[in-house]
Amino acid sequence: MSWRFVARRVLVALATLAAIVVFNFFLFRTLGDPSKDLIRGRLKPDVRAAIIHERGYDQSQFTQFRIYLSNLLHGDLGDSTVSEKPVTDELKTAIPNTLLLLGLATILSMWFGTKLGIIAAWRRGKPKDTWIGQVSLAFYSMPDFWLGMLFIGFFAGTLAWLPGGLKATPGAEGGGWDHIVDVGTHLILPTLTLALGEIGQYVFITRASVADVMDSDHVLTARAVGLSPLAVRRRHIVPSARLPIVTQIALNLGFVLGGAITVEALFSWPGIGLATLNAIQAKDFPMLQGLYLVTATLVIVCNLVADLLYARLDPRVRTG
Amino acid sequence: MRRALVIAAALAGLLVGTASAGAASGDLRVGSPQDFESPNPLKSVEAINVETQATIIYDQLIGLNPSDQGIAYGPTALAKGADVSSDGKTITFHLRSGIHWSDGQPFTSADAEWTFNAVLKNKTNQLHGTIEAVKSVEATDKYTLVLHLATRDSEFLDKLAIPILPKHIWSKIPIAKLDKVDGPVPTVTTAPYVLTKWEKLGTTILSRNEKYDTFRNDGKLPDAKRILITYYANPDSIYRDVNQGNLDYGYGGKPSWARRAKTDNNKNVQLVSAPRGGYWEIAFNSCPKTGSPICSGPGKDVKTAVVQDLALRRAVAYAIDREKFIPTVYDGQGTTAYSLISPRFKRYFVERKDTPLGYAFDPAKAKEELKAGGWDCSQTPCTKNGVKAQFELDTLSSSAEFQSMAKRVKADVAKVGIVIDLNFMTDDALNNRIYASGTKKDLYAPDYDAFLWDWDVSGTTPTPIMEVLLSNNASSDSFYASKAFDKALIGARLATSEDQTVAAVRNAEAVELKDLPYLPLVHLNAVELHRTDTWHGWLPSPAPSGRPLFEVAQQILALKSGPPPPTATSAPAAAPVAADESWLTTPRSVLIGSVLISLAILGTSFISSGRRRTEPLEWTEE
Repeated sequence: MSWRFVARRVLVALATLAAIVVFNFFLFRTLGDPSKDLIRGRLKPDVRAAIIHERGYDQSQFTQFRIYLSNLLHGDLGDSTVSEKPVTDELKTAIPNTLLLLGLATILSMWFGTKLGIIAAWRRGKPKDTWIGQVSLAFYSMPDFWLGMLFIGFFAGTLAWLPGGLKATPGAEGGGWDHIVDVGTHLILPTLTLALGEIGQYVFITRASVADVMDSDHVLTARAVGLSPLAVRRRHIVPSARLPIVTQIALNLGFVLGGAITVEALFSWPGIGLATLNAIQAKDFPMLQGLYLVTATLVIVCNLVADLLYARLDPRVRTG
Repeated sequence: MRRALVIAAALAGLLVGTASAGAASGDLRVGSPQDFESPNPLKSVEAINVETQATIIYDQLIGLNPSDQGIAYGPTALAKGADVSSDGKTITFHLRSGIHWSDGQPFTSADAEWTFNAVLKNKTNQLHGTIEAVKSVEATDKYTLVLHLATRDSEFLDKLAIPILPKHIWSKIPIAKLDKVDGPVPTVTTAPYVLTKWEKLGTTILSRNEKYDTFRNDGKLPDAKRILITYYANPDSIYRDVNQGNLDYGYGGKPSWARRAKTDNNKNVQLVSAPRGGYWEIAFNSCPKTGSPICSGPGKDVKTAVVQDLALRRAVAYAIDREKFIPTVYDGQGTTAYSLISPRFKRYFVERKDTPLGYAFDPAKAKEELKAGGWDCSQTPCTKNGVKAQFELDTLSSSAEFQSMAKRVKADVAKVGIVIDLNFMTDDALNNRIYASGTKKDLYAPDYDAFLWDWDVSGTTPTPIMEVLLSNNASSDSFYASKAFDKALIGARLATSEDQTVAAVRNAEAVELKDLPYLPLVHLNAVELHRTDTWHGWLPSPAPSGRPLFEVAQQILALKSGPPPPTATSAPAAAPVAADESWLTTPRSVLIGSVLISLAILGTSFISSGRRRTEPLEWTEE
């Protein structure tokens, strides 16, 4: 992989990020003038004027944008208009929670999805293939919120086995192992909701990719020289089939983040999804800008990593 | 398979065992759909935050009587009494001695003086507007505080809700920053609970103030060792957790909780449905063509000949069957509004249903009003001087209830020959129509015909949400300009007795109902839920059906751990339960949905598995 190739990919990512920064600022202004919302608050005109001035709403949009850019270059995402705290502080609390949930859900869906995809391809046309395909399709086609509601209704409501929301038992004391078990217990249902929703994608991509490779000449040659089917699968099929899966992981991140808003709201999981929902309801523009910037950056970085990884795994990409 | 089942069973046992202990450990567990946004009362907006600070975390100068919420100077108040000068402009508070902050420092008038001055000088804090009438504050001795008002305000004490902060802690923060910081945690307070842990979008913990001056509570500390306030993004989860025994109190519920509670019929759960202070109304654009102190005239597309026609407004009022809103839209949780003043305010409330100003449902009278007003209703829509009786009604796309009410209004008025075109929009879009810029600086040109929205208020007087109808009120959204209304409501402020105040407020309401800039539709109830087996001694305020928590300071002191003790006339109390094993706690639709999905998957798989594809290469595992 040449430096030129890497530099080109990084430049494209930076250009995308710059476009997002601009879009990000003006997107939320289309929702309306936030200063109008202060009017139904029984504020005296001078107090309202003071708040509007403090938040910079009395300046032109161009000036507001210039200040936003300048602050951004200094790592300042502004202050939340609800909590009056720096957006970066708010994000520092929310991001780890989301990474925990999304990370776990992605690992689970990827692991089981690829395993099931390989099995389905290996047993093409057999009942196992059909079962895996149908069940994956059923979960994939279910909206996250509905699947989550089913889980809550059954596991937290009827059976009362699992907590139906929150990050930890309210007021639970004790750290260490107890805390890990407590958070882990609360993670089960939201993680399952996200993971089961995503697993289908990995199953179908893997199945198609593995099935495709199974029919290729080099696999036939490997069989012909006498390698066992499992050895052929392990050494020649799966390594060749994993390329589309890498792309899928990177592309999927944006969708998973979108799904996290619903799942976090449903399970009261205090991550960036829930923070986004609350910021939209409160029209907290600085918070929304910060959240979207972080989300977009995360997706761009993941795509960049996928691009580079892809090139590393497949020489045709970096030469062609 | 057997191994998997054993593991699943063990896991289930482990998980069931993780339920929190609740009352047994002294925890009062509250679920709230609102986030506890800050420990600082000067920057708190959400009701759960404001009400907790006002009734549990901080003390105020005055207290309220739990039964009728009248002003009282009981032991929970920091003042033991107050004198009001004959001109009503000087209020002298006599403060209680022997009270200490939770860090051991004595409470004095210097703390109260600093708090009032801080709220006044920091103009952007949330409490500033409530004491705008205060001109100056002085602590004349260690236990005397004097407030000087710019003008008489007979309801000043009713509206006074300032939590008193410790000067030795908060004065270290610059005044301008007071509403920008969250303040110290743990908090320092004279009240029975100290906020010891604050977690946004999580659980906020209030711990019992072990240094609380117990002479203020018959020598005892409150029973609850901790109050856990947990944020839930989904109110239905609060309902479920109260029913299962994972919460003791469900705050800020939905009207549908009442229906579910009736169906579930959980003997350990009590539903609370208490009148709120607000009104839900249709506002007609009332900005005069010649302008008012806050508007330069209606927007150019406004159908003023229709919405500013008094006969048409009255016809609309008579034509709407308002009685059906509460049972059909709000699950019975509220009352039909025939006046602006909510039944919550018993001193002020007048039942107007059967009076001419009530405009009770009567389509025949609606038609008579139109005819008397010169409208020709031989065809729909009615017409007058070539103008059609047709206007736009805007409401919020975010509220299914508002939309439902608006649709019913449209259907009802159509029967008397008035046509309404509905617009569902975001609150931003609606605000932009209401507060459209006018032709003169700082004046609006409201660009709507009518909208459906609400105003809500807590406390002991309805006047804050009647003041939005004053002709110079900066928050006016109807742009009503009536000298008679202004005179009546300002007269309430200048009244010298409670009776005069009440009479003036009622008079202002009557003027409003005559002109109908707002047509009131409903007064809603606050719907909440509490367990009866984990805590007892719930004290409804106002009696007998008010909320048992977050209304007055005495409520948290009255709570006792466990179920109520058996009395001679009652059956023995049920033992506390960790969770109610009722299938009804889960909607049947969920179960039916699960079964249907399983059947669908099984069916599809069965059908699909019948089709065998042939493979070019036969692979076997070994």
